[in-house]
Amino acid sequence: MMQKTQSIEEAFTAMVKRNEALIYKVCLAFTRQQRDEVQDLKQEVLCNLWRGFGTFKNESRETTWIYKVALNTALQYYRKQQRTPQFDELTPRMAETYTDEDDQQQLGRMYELIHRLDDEEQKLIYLYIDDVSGKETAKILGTTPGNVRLKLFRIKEKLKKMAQNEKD
Amino acid sequence: MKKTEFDMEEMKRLWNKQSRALEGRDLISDDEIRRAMTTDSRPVVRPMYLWRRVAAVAAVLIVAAVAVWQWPGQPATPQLAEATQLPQKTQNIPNNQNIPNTPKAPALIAEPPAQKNFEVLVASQMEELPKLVAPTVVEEVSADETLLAQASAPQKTVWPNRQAATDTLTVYTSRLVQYDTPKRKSLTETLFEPVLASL
Repeated sequence: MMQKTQSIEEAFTAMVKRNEALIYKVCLAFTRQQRDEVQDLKQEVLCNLWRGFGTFKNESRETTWIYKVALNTALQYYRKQQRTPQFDELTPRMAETYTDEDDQQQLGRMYELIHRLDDEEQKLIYLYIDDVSGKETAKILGTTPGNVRLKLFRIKEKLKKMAQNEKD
Repeated sequence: MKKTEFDMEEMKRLWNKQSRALEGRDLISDDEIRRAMTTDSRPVVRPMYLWRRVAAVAAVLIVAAVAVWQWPGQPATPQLAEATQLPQKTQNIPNNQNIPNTPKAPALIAEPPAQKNFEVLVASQMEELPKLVAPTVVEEVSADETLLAQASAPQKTVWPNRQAATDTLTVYTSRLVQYDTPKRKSLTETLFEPVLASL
């Protein structure tokens, strides 16, 4: 019994370590890039992964399952955070993850626009930016690759319009 | 934004640049993974939010305690207990066991009854009222006498029963407001009007 419990924990730890960059990047994208929020979200994603680990049956790719759990958790967390006040001076930004401050600001502004999209659109655009293939994106979102392409095209147009309106 | 339009490729480039900056870092520690597993899927409560949760639980407990304390079965003060006590005694009136001889509402209907029980109760009471009141009233009081005239003639022995019946009817009538209009009309026609006519 002990042996079995130990092996499940070891397997979970190994899986998280293999995909730590994937998990961490989702946390960065769906927070206001502040240290506390990233840590909090990371912990919530890990808890949800652990909760579902027993039911994960290797029917899909490991990354597909992790993306699903992480993106759903992140979106929930983001909505919750939007309703709470922000204390910039108390929570330092994750500046060390960027090499250039201009890049950081530009990425931040782009994410502001992306977060105005609905949940499914946000997931799709994130997966696109993170270079996930159309086939895997379709599996994560429970749709077809053709539908992914179509939606992606529409979302890009939508973002362009939003950026244009922002400028005007 | 530097450019006038949303450049997806630029965003991908920036995102990849950031991803590369993360390479080789210990992004998730063993301790964080262990914490997720040992807390049985419950996220760790950050100290800064802990006091809020404690305050929320305390507030719920206080509200629950006050609600239980002020429950009708356990009044908060002796005065309130006295005020909410229902009448326990009724006078023994010959030929009238159901109607108390006081202007107050009978104990049986002091509590709001469920709709069905109320209808059964009214029906049974209404059946009794004409038998109890009407024969005596017809003998003693002429049809054109007003209530005031009756009050000035207390020697007429029918008064206690009549008063009690009137009071009971008043209470039941006030309860009719809980019904919608068609139901109220139907109850009035079937139950109240025959009795009122006999009075």
